[in-house]
Formats: sequence, C-alpha cells, structure tokens
Amino acid sequence: MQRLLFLIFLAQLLVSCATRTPGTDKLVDSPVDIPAKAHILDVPFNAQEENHCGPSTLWMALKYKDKSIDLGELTKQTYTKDLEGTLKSDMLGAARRQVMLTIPVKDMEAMLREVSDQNPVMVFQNLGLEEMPKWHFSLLHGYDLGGPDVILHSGKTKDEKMDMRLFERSWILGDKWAYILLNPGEISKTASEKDHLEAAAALENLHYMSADYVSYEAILERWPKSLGAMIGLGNIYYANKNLKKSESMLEKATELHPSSPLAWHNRAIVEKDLKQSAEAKASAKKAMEFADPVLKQKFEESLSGILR
Amino acid sequence: MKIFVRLMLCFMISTTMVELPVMQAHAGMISTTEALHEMNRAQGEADIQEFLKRDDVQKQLMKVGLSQEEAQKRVASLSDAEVKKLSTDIQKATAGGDIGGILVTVLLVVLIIYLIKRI
Repeated sequence: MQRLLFLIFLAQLLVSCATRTPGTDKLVDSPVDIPAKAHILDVPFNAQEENHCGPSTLWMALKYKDKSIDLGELTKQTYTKDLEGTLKSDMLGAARRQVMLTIPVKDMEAMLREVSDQNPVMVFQNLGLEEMPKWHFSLLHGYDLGGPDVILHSGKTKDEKMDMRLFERSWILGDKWAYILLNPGEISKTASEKDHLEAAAALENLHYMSADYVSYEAILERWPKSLGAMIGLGNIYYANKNLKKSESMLEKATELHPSSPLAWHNRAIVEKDLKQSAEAKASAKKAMEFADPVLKQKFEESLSGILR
Repeated sequence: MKIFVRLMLCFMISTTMVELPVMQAHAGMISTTEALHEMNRAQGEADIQEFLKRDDVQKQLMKVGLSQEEAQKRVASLSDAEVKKLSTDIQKATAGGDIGGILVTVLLVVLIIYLIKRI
C-alpha cells in the first residue's frame, strides 16, 4: 500500500512538472481554424491605480459591452481594502449585478477564438513566482500567432504586447481563470451548454426575470434539447405566475427527457397548482420512479401532498 | 514512514476538494441551480461507472481485492465534490489519450474508492 501511495505521489509530481505552455505549443505546432492574428480595437482603456487591477479590468470589459458604471461604484463592489485587491468571485458577482452572463474560457485556443470573435477575455495572472505570487487581472483583447504574442490592457499600459508563452505560464500559475462577459441572449462559440446554463442560473438567483428568460431561450435555440434551459424556463414562468406556460414547458421537458426525475418533479408541482390532481399524481409517480435514493428522500417531502 | 504516508494523503486529499454550490428553491419547485447541480452529479457518476467497466481498471480493482459491485457502491457514496473531481480527472486522462495520465487516474480511482471510508 505504501508503495502504491508513493507511486501516485511521484506520478502527480511528474504530471505537474510536464510541459509548461501546452496551449501555445499546440497552437504554434498544429494551426487551427482561427485567424493568424486579431486585435479588438475599440476596447476602452483605463489606467489602473495601485492594486486596483480588478475593478479596472472589469470596468473596461463592461464598458466594451456598453455597460457604463462609475469606476468608484464598481470598486466598492469588487475591491477589498484589507486584502489590497479583488477576489475572483467578486469580479463575477459584480458583473452579474450589471446583468451580464459570466462565461468561463477553458484554454489558450478558446481564449484566442473568443478574441477573434470580438469578445475580450478577462484573465487572472501570476506575474511573480509560484512561491512568491504577484496576482494581476488584465484584459486580453488581441493576439498574433506569428510572434507568438498576446495584447492586453494591463495595469497602466494600453495594448501591452506580451510573449504568448510567458502569458500562458502566468495564466496557468494564476490557476487558469479566464472569463468573457455576454449579454443575456448571446452565445459563446467556445463554451458548453453547461457553462451557459450555469451562468444563466447564477443570474436567475439574482432575480432578473426578463434577462433569464432571454438567456434560457437562447440556450434552447442553440441546444434544442437542453433540459437545463427547459427547467429554467419552467421556473421563470412559474415565478411569474404563468402556470400554463410553465406546465407546457415542463411537459416538453418530460417528452424529450422521459427519465428525468427533475423535470417530472417540477411538472407535478405545477400541475398540482393548476388543480389537475390526477395528472400531478401521475407525474409525481414518474419522478419517484426515476429518482436516485438521495433525490427520492427529497421528493418524499416535496411531493408528499400530491402522492397521498 | 507513517507520517510520510499521512502527508501524502493530505496532499492528495486537498487537491480533491472543491466548493459546493448554494441551494435555493422556491415554493416546492426544484430551482434551476439545484437541478443543474443534480444533473452534473448524475453525469459525473455515470462517467465514473463507465470508466470502472474498462478492462484495465477492472484488473486494478481486482488486484486490490475490490469487486466491481463494491466499487460501484463506493462511487455512489462519494461526496459531490469527490464525484466532480474524479470525473474531471477521468475526462482529462481519457481525452488526452496519454497512457501515463490514464495510469495515474486508474491509481487515483482505486485509491479514492479504496480509502474513502477510512479517512
């Protein structure tokens, strides 16, 4: 057993020491179908104050999407004085407060693809050493595979050119944090159905009704069988007290995903509220049939009035 | 040696911990956030179960004296964070198609399933 542990430990170390810039290497060695270079020229620039890279980066990204917010107000929402900086989660939270979808960008290729698609990418870098980090937010909005370089609005420098490998290393050391901001209804070409759903659901939690409606509709148009989008729309209609529409959306969900306990569950609740007790009971039974033990326990409570 | 093993365990466990989403529900309906969370877990579990059916993984499991049935039961009792971490690891290893990576993951799967109840 101890030998097994030791082997795994060694293997983990080896993996973490492997090639340092896999994304750039791959892009340079085997070109993909993106333009050789791109630069989004109309990205607003703000020269940051000391330690204020977070609010400054977010301000530029928002301004590019026509969201004008006072930098002082944005600083209040993102900057934490005692930390002398900005938490990653606060960057996303503040963007949502401006009714924007926060979509993660997973690797170098996806980042360049987003830039060539006119979406600047907020990135988090470690400009120091692994052991002595110097954290930094900046806005990636251009690249040239010929260099290869990237172009950033960073700190006090507009359109800063940075070696792509150097950038990738700093980004990996910053734990690969990269996001674009989209308006509800917009779809990223690089992100998955799940990424879009998570972003839309995070907005839904803040109760921007009409924005969520548009987000889920767009997801459903791009991924017509999206169970998450149908459940989301069912919830929005329900919260809006439009029970009929909620029901028909969940009916569609159960038709396309007949073994989804979640869709059946919510359909049962809506049918109960519509006083269709026979239908509600049938749906609740279906929900129980497909639920795993954990869900079953939860459902026993929420569906008890219907099943009885 | 014992301390060394413990240290290694801590190191590996700390790399498997991830955050849990906040649940929110209105009036009996399963909220979208909660639904997505459930769907992710179901998908993650399905991916791991699929992986456990591989020949090389089965051999590893047999080597440490774990039946497939018991392994599956242990997967079912993993926490959400563990399911997420494990399925992500498997996805990465199998997508890259690199043998070393798969081996590491196989060992990790075995280790986590094997030790989960003793930590």
